[in-house]
Amino acid sequence: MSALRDDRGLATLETTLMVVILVPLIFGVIEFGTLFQRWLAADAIAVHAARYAGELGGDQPTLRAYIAEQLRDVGIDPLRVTVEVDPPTVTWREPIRVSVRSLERIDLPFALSTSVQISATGVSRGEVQR
Amino acid sequence: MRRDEGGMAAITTVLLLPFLLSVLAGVAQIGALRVIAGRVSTAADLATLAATDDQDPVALAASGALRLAPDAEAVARRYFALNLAQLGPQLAVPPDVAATEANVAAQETSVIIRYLSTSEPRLFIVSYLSASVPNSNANGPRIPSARADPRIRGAHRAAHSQFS
Repeated sequence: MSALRDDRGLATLETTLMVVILVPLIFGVIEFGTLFQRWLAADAIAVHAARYAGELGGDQPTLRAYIAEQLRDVGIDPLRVTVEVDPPTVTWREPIRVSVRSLERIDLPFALSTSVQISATGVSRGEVQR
Repeated sequence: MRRDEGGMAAITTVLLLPFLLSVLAGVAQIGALRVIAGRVSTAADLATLAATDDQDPVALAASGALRLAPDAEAVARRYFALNLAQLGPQLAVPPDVAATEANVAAQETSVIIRYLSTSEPRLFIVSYLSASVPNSNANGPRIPSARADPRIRGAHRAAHSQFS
């Protein structure tokens, strides 16, 4: 019987090791899922904002208000988002680009805490005859 | 007699680790490819919309019929390239080349873009993408103004329903 080793505490040790691995894994799935959802939402907002900018003829307060409202709807704080409209004024049939960028935080217990930039861009066509 | 199993867990872990990491990398790559496919599709959507924004004034004056502008195909390719630019190196070819290679069909009132894209991981052919947008100005030439605001906002909300 001397070959039998003392297994006391082994389950505790294994559980501890697995928790350290599994918890970051589970939070990783949740955090990256949330990040992906926000990325897709930002993409949709950039596309529709580009079309709206084309209709308005450029960067106007109504465009900014529209983007802020849509960002709030999907749970993104507009204050953390950088919106670029290039060019600020667009004429008939010229391209206009709207970019939406934000820093999203990812926190994984026992692993890492970092910020990931999500960015989305849409290019549409100016529809205002000046 | 009980065999000594000491070290078995370590050996199993070492043997399985490459397999598990390969699966993990595969999942990540498939996810990345789906993102690229989605963005290419969005680029095609925006390009077709831009191409159908303008009408042929000659056909309109002659028959009252709304037809695509003669440069619709070129516009579709140009805006496809502009919208693909954000993908940058994730595509196997530069955006301009992709737009040139795309199959763009501009017929009377609609523009269809079909593009079979490949990505750098080269695991799979990403997807077969098709975007068809009929000419939305069925009742007359568009009056350039913010009149389209409610329509765009409505479309946006519809698009959001998949996230809520």
